[in-house]
Parts: sequence; C-alpha cells; structure tokens
Amino acid sequence: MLFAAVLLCVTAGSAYFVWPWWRATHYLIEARRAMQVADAEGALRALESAERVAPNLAEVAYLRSVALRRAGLLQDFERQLQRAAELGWPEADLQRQSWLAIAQSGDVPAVQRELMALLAEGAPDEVAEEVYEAVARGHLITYRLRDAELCINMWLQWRPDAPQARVMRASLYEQYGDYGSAAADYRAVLSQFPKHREARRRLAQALAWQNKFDQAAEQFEICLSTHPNDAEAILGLARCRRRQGNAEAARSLLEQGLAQNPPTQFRGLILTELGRVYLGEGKTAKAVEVLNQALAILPGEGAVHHALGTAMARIGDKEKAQYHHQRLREIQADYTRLNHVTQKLLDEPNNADLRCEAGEILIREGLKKEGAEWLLTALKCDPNHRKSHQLLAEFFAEIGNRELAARHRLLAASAEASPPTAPPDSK
Amino acid sequence: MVQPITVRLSRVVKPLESRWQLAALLAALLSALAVAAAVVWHRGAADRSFKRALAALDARQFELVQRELARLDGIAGFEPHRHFLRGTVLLAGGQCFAALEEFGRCVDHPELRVRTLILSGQALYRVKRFRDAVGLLVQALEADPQAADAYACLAAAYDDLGLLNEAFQAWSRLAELRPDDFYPHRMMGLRCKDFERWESAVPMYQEALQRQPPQPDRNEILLEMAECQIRLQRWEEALGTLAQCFPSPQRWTKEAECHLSAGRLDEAQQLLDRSLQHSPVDLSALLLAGTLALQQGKGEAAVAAWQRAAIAYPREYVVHYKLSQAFRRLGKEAEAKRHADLAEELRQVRLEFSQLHATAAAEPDNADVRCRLGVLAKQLDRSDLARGWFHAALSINPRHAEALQHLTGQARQASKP
Amino acid sequence: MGRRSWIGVAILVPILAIVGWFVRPPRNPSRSPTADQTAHAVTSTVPWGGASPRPSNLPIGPIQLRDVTDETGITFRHTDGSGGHHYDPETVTSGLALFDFDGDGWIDIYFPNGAPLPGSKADTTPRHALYRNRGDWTFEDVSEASGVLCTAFGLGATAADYDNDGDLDFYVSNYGPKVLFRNNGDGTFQEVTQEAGVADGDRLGAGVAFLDVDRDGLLDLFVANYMKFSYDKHFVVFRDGYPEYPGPKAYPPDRHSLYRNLGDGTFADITDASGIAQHPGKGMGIVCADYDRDGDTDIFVLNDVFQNFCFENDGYGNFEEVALANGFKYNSEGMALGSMGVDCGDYDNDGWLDFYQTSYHRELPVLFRNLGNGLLEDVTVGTGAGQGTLNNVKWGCGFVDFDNDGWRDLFVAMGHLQDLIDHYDETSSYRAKNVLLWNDGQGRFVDVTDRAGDGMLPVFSSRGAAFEDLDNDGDVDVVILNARDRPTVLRNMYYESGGRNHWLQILLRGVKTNRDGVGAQVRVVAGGLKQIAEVHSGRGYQSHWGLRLHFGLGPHDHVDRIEVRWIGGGTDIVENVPINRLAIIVEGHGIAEQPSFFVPRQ
Repeated sequence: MLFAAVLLCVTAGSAYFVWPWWRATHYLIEARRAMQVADAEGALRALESAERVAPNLAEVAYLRSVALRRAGLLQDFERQLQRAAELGWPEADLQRQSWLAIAQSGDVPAVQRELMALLAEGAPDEVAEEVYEAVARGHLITYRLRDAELCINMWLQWRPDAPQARVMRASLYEQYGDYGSAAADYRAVLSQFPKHREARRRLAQALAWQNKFDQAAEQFEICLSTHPNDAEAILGLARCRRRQGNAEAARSLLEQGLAQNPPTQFRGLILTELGRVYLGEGKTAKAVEVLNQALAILPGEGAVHHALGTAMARIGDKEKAQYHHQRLREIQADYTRLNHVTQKLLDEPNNADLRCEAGEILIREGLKKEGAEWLLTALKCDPNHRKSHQLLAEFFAEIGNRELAARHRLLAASAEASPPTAPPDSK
Repeated sequence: MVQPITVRLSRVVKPLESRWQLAALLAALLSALAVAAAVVWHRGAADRSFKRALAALDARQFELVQRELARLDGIAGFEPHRHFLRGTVLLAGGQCFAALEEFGRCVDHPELRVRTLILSGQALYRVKRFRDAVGLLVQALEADPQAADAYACLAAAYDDLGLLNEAFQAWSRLAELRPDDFYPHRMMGLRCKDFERWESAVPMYQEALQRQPPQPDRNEILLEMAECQIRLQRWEEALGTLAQCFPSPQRWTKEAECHLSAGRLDEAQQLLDRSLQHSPVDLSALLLAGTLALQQGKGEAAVAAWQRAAIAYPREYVVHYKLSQAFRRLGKEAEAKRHADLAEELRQVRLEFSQLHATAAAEPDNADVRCRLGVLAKQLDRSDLARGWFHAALSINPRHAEALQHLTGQARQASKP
Repeated sequence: MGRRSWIGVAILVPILAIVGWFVRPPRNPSRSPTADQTAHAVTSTVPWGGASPRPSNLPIGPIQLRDVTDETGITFRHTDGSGGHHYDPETVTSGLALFDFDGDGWIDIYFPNGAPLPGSKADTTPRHALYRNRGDWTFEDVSEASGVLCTAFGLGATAADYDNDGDLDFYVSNYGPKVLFRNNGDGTFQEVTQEAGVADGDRLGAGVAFLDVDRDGLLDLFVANYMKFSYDKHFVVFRDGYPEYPGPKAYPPDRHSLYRNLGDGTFADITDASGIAQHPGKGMGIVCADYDRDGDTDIFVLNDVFQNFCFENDGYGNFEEVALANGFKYNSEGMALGSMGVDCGDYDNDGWLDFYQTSYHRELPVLFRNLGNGLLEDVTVGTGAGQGTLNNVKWGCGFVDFDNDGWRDLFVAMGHLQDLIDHYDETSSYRAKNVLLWNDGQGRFVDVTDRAGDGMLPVFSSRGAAFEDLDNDGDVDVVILNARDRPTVLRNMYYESGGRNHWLQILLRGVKTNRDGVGAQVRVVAGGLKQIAEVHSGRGYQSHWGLRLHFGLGPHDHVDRIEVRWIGGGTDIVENVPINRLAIIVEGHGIAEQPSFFVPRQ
C-alpha cells in the first residue's frame, strides 16, 4: 500500500510538472503548423494559449515574436523579442529576427550583407526560408518588383513547393496584371495546403479579375465555410453574384456583411457594392442613400462616383451627375497616371520623383497612409527629396503627429538648398 | 458491551444475511448520493461557468470566455448570460455595434444590468458617441453608486465632451473608490495644467505619484509636474522633480529653462544643446534657444533658432510673435511686420478657440460649437485636437454635415490589398 | 505544553501572521481630497484681513516697513458700493493720490471712494477724503474744510498745477462724470469741471494723467476709460455655485480721451484729432513718459485682457499707436494680460526708463526693460520680477528705492477681485499680503516680503499704492488703498533701523515749461552711480505720486551733477549739489534756497 501511495504521489507530482510542458508543446506544434500556411492569426492564438500554460518558456516567447514579425506587428514583435531575450533564448536567433524585421519593413540594404552571409554559411532550411520571405516582402513593400521577383525565383528554385513563395510570386503576377499565372500559383499552393486561407481568397479574387465569376464564387464560398465573418470574402462573393445576375443573393450577402460591422474601409466597399445592386434593381433612391454613405468613407473611390453619377442622372440631377462624372474622370486620370508611374518604376526602382508622384496621387485620392508609405520609399532613394518631405509633413500634421510633421518641414526647407542625394545601392 | 453494528442494524431493519448484501446496500446508498450530488453539481455548473467567464473577462482572457460561453450553450435560463458574454467578446474585438446589440438583449437582467450598462457605455465611448455613453453610465451609477469602472468611463466621456467640472467630479469619485489607482489624479492634474491652474495641478500630480504609477506613466507625470513648477517659478523644486525623470530631450529642455531663469546661462546652454542634438525639432527647446541667445546678446542666433521653429511649426503663434520682435531689434522691419501680421492672425484664432471652450462647457448640446472648435484646431495645426472635437460634434448630431466632411477628409483607414 | 504543542504553535503563528498580512485593511481612502473638499474647502494660507500683531522675531532684510496706520488718525474706510449684484465697477475702485496740496512741504493724501450702486444701501453717504499731513505721522481729514466733498463713484486721481498758478490741482476719475478741482491757494478747492470741459461724459473711468503733449508749457489731460459697462447688460457668472464678476471680456472697449489745455482754464477735446480715438480699449493704469528720449511725452495705457497701447507722440500732440512695434503690447509670450497698474523707472540704471505692469491671478507681472532703441523687452522671468505674485491679482505698483542704495526696488499691492474666491479656489484668496522685491543691483530682484518688517504682514484686498516721503526723513513711505476696508500706511524705517545710505530729493519748478516740471527728465550723477527719473502726474494703479523725485545715492556722499531736461524747454545742469536734502531746481535758475521744513540728515 505504501509503495502504491508513493508511486501515486510521484506520478501525480510528475504529471503536475510535465503537464504544462506537454500542453505548451502541443500549442507550439499547432503554432508552427499555422505559420507554415501563413496563418498568423492562428499561430498567435495558439501561442497565447501556450503562454498561459507556460509563461516562462523561452521558446514560446521566441516563436511568438516570430509570429508577430510575420504578421507585420513590429512594435509588439520588439517587445516579445525582448522578452525572449530575458528568458534566455539564444542571442543568434534574436539577432537574426531583428535583421529580418528590418528587411521586411523595406530597408533590405541595411541588413542585406548579414542575411546573405547567413545563407552563405549554410543556415538551416527554416532559417533560409525566413530570409527569403523577409527580403521578398521588403522588396515588395518598397515596390522593387524586379528585386522581389529575383528573390522569390531563387527561393522557388531551391524550394519549388514553398507555399509562401508561391503566394508572393502570385501577388507579383497580379502587380503585372497576369492574373492567370497568379491563379495557377494559388492553385498550386492549395493543392498542398487546402487550408491556406490567404491563397484561397486571393485565388478567388484573381479569378474574379479574369471575370471567371463562377469559379471565383466557388472559392469565396469555401472561404466563407471556414470563416463566415470574412468581410473580404463576403464582398467578393457578393460581387460575383451580382455579376452572375443574382442581385438578390448579392444583396443578402452584402447586408449580412454590413451587419457584422466590418472595418470602415470594407464597410465603404460593401456599401458601394450594395449601391450598385440597388441601381441594378432600379431602386435609385436607396442606391443614392447607401452610395452617399460610401462616399463619406471612400471619397476617392471611382466606383462610387461612377455609381452616383449614374444614379443622379437617373433622378434628373444633372449638376450632381456631372460633378460625379467629372470626379470619376479625375480619379481615372490619376490612377492611369499611377499605373504609368509604377510601370516606369519597374525599370527605375530608385527614382525618387516617381515614387513621390505615386505617393502624391494616392494621398490626393484619399489613400493617405499608402501614399505616405510611398513617400517614405522615395526618401530611401533620395533623403533630400524636398517634395516628399513636404507631402509627408502635411500627412503627419493631419494625423496629429506634430513632431514628425515638424521634422519633415525642416528637412524640406534644408533640402531646398541641397542638391539631390544619390540613391543608395540596393544590390 | 458495545454490540456490533450489524447486530444493531438488524434491530432496525430486516436482518441482512451476508456481507455482500451489506456491501450492495452501501453501494446503492453511495450511488444514490453520487447521483444526487451530480444533480446538484450540474445545476451549479452553469453558474460556475459564468463566474469563470467573468473572471476570465476581468483577466482579459477572451479565449476562456469563449470556452465558457460554449459551455453555456443550450442551458436554459442562461440566455441573457450568453448575450452578455458574446457582447464582451465582440467588444474586445472592437466590434462595438455588434456588442451593443448583444448587450441590448441582456440589459434588463437584474444580475447583469449594471455590468451591461457599463460595458455598453464603454462601447459607445469607443465609437465616440459620448453623450449616449454618459446616459448609460449614469444609469449604471444610479443602480450601483460604487461602480468604479463606470466612473472611469464617465470621466473620459465628460472630458471629451468638454464638460470639465463633471469630469473632475467623476475622477474624484473614482479616486475614492480606487485609492491605489494613480490615474484619476493624473488626469485631474493634466486638466488643471491644460487650463493653466498650475497651483492646483501640482498636488494632483503628487497624489498620483504616491500611488506608484508604472513607467512610462511615472516619467510623464514627473515631466508634467515639473512644467507646472516651472510656471509657478519654483525653479529648484522643478529641478528636483526633473532629476527623477529619465534622461530625455524634454527633461533637458525643462532643466535648461530652470537654469536660464535662475541666471545660470552656461548650464542652460549645455542642456539645451544636448536636447536639440537629440530632438532637433522640439518646439520648447527651439524657443528657449532663441531666448537664451537673446540674453547672451546674440540676436542673429536667436532669429535663426526661431526661424527653424517657424518652419517646423508654421501655425505656432508665439514663434511668429517672438520673431517679429527679434527682427525689429535687428532693424528688419519688413520681416518683423510679416511675422507680426501672421502672429495677429493666429492670435485671433487662438482667442476664438479659447472662448469657444467656455461655450462648449456651458452648452453640452451644441454640436456647431464643437465643430467650430475642430475647424479652429485645424487652423492651429492641431489635427489631433480637431479630430476629437469633430467626433464630439458627431456624438451630439451624427448627421452634422460639416463635421463629417472634415472627418472624412481627415481620416482614411488603410486598405491592404 | 508538550513538544507537539510547541511545534503546532511554531507552525501556526507564522501562518497566522502571513494570513494577517494579506487581510490587512486597505489604505485609508480619505487621505486624498475629494472633489467636494477640493472645491469647497474654505482654507486660506494667510490670516483673514486686518492689521496683525507685531511679532518680535521677524527676520531682518535690507528694507524695513512698519505699519503705522493706527497712529495716523486716518478713519477713511473704502467702499466699493457693492450690494450683492457683482457689478464689475465694484472691482476696480480705486487708486489714490499723494501730493502736497497746501504747499507746506508735507505730502498729503487723497482717497477716492466708491459709492452705492443700484441695489446697495449705505447708512451714511460715502465720500472721497482729503487728509492733510501734519508732519508728525498724524493726518487730518480736511475734506469738508477744503471743499472737496465728492461722493461720486471714484476710481482714480492725479494731481498737477494745470493752471500754473503755483498750487496743485487735482482731477478725479469716476464712474460717471469726472471732476476737476482747482486749488484756490488757501487750502480750499473749487470744482471747475464744467467750466474746464473735462467731465468726459458718463463713462467708467480709469487712470488719468496730466502731461504736456505739445510742449507749450501747459499741462494737458489724458483720461483712460475702462469699458462700456451698463446695468442692463450686466450678468453674473457662477463657479461652483458662487457668483463671480463677469469681467472685462463681457463688455466692449471704450475710447480714451485727450484734452488740450487752452491756457485759460479750459480744455479742448482733441481725442479725434490726436489719433487716440482710433484705439478704444479697456484702460486701467496709465503712465506718461518720454521712453525714447526724443523730447516729448508718450502715453502708455494698460488695457485689461486686451492689448496694451503705447501712443508715441510726434511732439505736437499727434499720436501713433506703436505698442506692437515696440514690444509693449503683450508679454514675451505674446499674451494680452489682465493688466492693472503700470509704473515707470530705470531699474537697471542704464539711462532708459523701464516699465513694470501688474496683472491678474495666475499671470506674471511684466518688467519691460527699455533697450534704448525704441524697443521694450519682457525680462520678468530672468530678473525675478514676478516672484511671489502669481497666485493673486496685482494692482498698484511702484519703482521705489526703499533702502536708498541707488537701485529701484519694486512694491506690488495684491488682492483678488473675486470676493468669494476663498470658497472655491484654495490656491488664492480675496485678501493677500503685498509683495516687496529688492533690487540687488545686478539686474535681479529678490523677494524680501517676509523680511521687510511688520508692514508687509497686513492682509487686505489692496488696490492703489503710492509712494512718498511722508515724514521728510529721506526715505520713501507707502500708502495703500484697500478695497472695502481702511487704508494701510507704512513708514519706512530705513534710518531708524541703522541705514546709512545717502539720498537726494528734487522738486522741479518750471518757468517756461509747466510749473511742476511734469515730463522733465532728471539725471543724477554721483560718482559711478548714474540715475535718471522723470516727473509724472498719474501712474501706478490709477494713482498719483512722485512730483518730488527721490534718488538713493548709496554710499556716495556727494552728487557731481544733475541734468534736468525740461519738456518743451532746454536742459539745465547743476553741479556739486549737497545731499540728504530736498533740492528745488528752478528752470533756468538752478537750485533754489533750501526750504525750511526740511531737516537734512547727517
């Protein structure tokens, strides 16, 4: 009896200490699987659970930092990396993650040498994939598409089945307007990883761009079957239904999307689509109502002005119709110019003037944050680019960041007297 | 002699023929007890589940809340509780309107009413419907005058509506209910400082500091308190406060101001140089650099510093005023006039901005005044303040055209392709 | 007890202690003030009003002022006419005037007074009061005997010999028609307002001053007006349930007036012609001074919560408002303050007249340093000229060399205008101590209020302050008018407490220029010490003093030279002037004979 009791105690004690570790390991595996299919949300969820059961496990902290980095949450990433350091995770890994974050945020040249050295030294496959991914993302963010293409091709050459590489290449094809090739890549990813949410959603959109609405709808439906609240999927499917002539289904989907209180941007797009549906159904007054709401959110969206122009013409308000049509022309002209600029950038990636112009267009059409990002890339090419500084000063002033606005104003003023700076060597 | 239990039992019940029968009887009794216990346990499980959910909610463990919510599915009599928990999860996810719908379905449940009202108030606050938030929070407090969370949100709502007296009352009450919380005193100190009631602000900050705020709040409180002490001309006191702050350009600039006012120009210069090296666009540092240069008889240097400030902060009244005076001293009348005219224009805007604050406080239902405050804030290059005022206008009148126009012209969510 | 029991105790006690630690009661929540306590505490860090007993262990500073009010026999008690309606005029009454009306060599005192406003009652009709200085620290009320029986709502006063007949006349600024009293030369006055044409309508007056705008030897009159107050537009604001005066922002500005002396006892209104009319304001204290040393008198007007004015004279009575250009308009931060009183004096002995203005609660006063090129610079913070003044309203002020060391000190009269402020603002109070700032001669001021004798202890809601040598002993004394209360008279005990610095007082007698020498600048050179002063009529907070110029000479036992630049006249130089006395300098004739009433100090 005594022996049994001791054995019981020892077992219970062991279980008590081993159980959290076992549970944490289970969550870690789940997280790694999610990261494999670029499901950052899923990975973070699993890692939060792991942290709850094993709050002082360095591996959890480290993996969490990686997931945050890959999800683009760089401020949280830094905090988590610091935590991993405190818990004693190896310095080399931490250093590498810092480099990857820098590369991923667009400043590839700053860490290119270190990352290439890692690859040259024969880093493990997992590390190599991280490097390729971060560098490719960095190039994509700064619209260095050729460099991104080169990096992704090298990655695929080494790992033809790397899902993330294929997804990134597909997005490159989309930038080039080659939706067919993009769809092919997405399908290839899905054949291996049917649960790859991003690939499926993007496949659906690529198909929609090719006007293959039936196939696109099918894909959107699969997306919604696993994530019924996916606003993008709802919108995409509704568009497909409308184009298939099923206005009622489209309307129902859009109303469902609105009821879920999506982020403002999507709300605007959903309202636009709903307005178009109403227009198609001849419900002009309702169309006008929702389109005006959409306009309040997306004042630079061509589709809204187009729909509103049509609606106003129908109800006989010529002046407003003219206004919206004029706005549409202006927006179209802007985006045509933007396309031209981005095309030129493929061959002149270091042209600060082009980047600045792209930013200016986007800001003018209401996409201020995106525009500001373009302006920052212009400054990477030419730190003394006066107009970029001026526009950034206006942007930061508008969002209430007085210090950055002041900084850019001063830089613009001093740039007036300075010659343009040669762009950094990005190779 | 004590008789064996079996003998005693046999006098009461039909005599048992064997141990096995006794064992069977005992087993049956135990089973019955176990079943009864299970029934009682099951009945209390839902309550326990809900309590665990509430604890998880307080600890912001929303996954656990979801899990308990799943456990409550299908249990009769817990429908309002499910709505409540769903609402909290939605609110945590930022889906305020959806959360409000859920809360609307459980607000009348007596056990949940107060918490629901408070969370609804918080949801409304987050979507900038401050007036509505106040209404619900006041109801919550009528039901439970000790609800500290309600006071916290109520104070914030009053603050955003420009109703400072009410905000102060709410913060004061919150301070009573949460004696260890530094936040209410910090906010009261900050508002006193904003309204230049330096003498009142300092004791508020001291109270906040005594409650051991964590960093970086502690550092911010010390910096703000030091600024009040500087305005009260208590230079040495301010230096003592600043010595407790993290080294930073803000700290060095304030220290420079103290030394300058005490006549220690060299120390002031060193600190200012350090501050500007780290933060070349710090407005206070640039203004002080000009003042220091002027005291040293270096008019041109003063003008240079203030010109930098004018470029960096083109709508800052005091910069243009000082520049106009400095140019006059240098005999540059044209420049002096230009800056003086601009200063006067900005002064009028500031005057109206300041006067309208009092109007806003006196007229809590006036959306136009709040919209006008937003417009003036924009003219003063304070888009952050402008946004707040436009939202305040919309919280009173959601269809206020001008406020909507300004806001949508201001803000556009990022769209990720 | 057995071993087991001891073990049990040994285990139990620590457990109980640990449990006890965790269940200890929370911190006392009442240690921090509640909103109610903060808002409604009637606390005050200073004792309630009135004279205080003389503690015997006060620290000693360079300046010693003693409260001798009780000895003076002055029974005047100010009223602001309040009846609970909180009319704004109640807050701004009044200044006072110090001048030798009977020419006996002893400075007398004129106290304007308020009057019952609608809704208030008074058992006896309050009146202004003229007190004759007997020369022994007692004063005699000669209001009736002198014919100065004014019962108007008084705000300010100034004095000068406007008709150049050898005696001082005075002018009182009221809420309603202002009053000009002409001195008959026999200790009596005649009211000649209508005849002179200087009633200035039915307005809320403020500071007033005599000055020679066109350098014709006749003193003209500048009248500042406060604002267009009217009873039917009056309203009360409430703070925490307590009524407050609405203040100047509630009413529009009013125009100031300028009257030219025609030399025949009458004045002509030249407000429009002079350019003054284009600048209505909310006038409070004023001072007229030749700040740019171009030989004519300019006018400095403080406007309450409004931009200040500096009317620059072209020498012929035409004025251009230049405050923005010369830096007088606002403080260094470009802010218009709740401006109250202004005085003029060369605090740094650089030969240029500087200015000091008082201001409202939570505002610093402003010391404007004259840079000498037509520009004034706010140097308040760097000089410490605002110490001790932030938490109350500041009114009368003066540049006065109390310790005769050759450097002008600053006296600031303090007291709030919101009479119920003690109920809702624990950082301030209706009554307050005045402030004394000693000039260290190095460009900085030191707050010596707590070391300046029992004269700085009284706590009143002070308004006007004026500074003259009331006992002719060579140091400058102080008279303060306190709202709703009796005045304070402070005797300078510099010599009685062992002070040894020398001094000189100068009285000017114009011949071609105005008889009092108003507007004349005097430069005194004593070894390395060079000082300037100017004769003003009307200064501080709607007050008057200083027709007799006072110079502290420090250790210098002789004066090398005195230069007098007469307004509209030439320059007289007098050398080797004896010290520690009053010197009367007559235009074109040098020093007149030493008057008999003066006892030179050894």
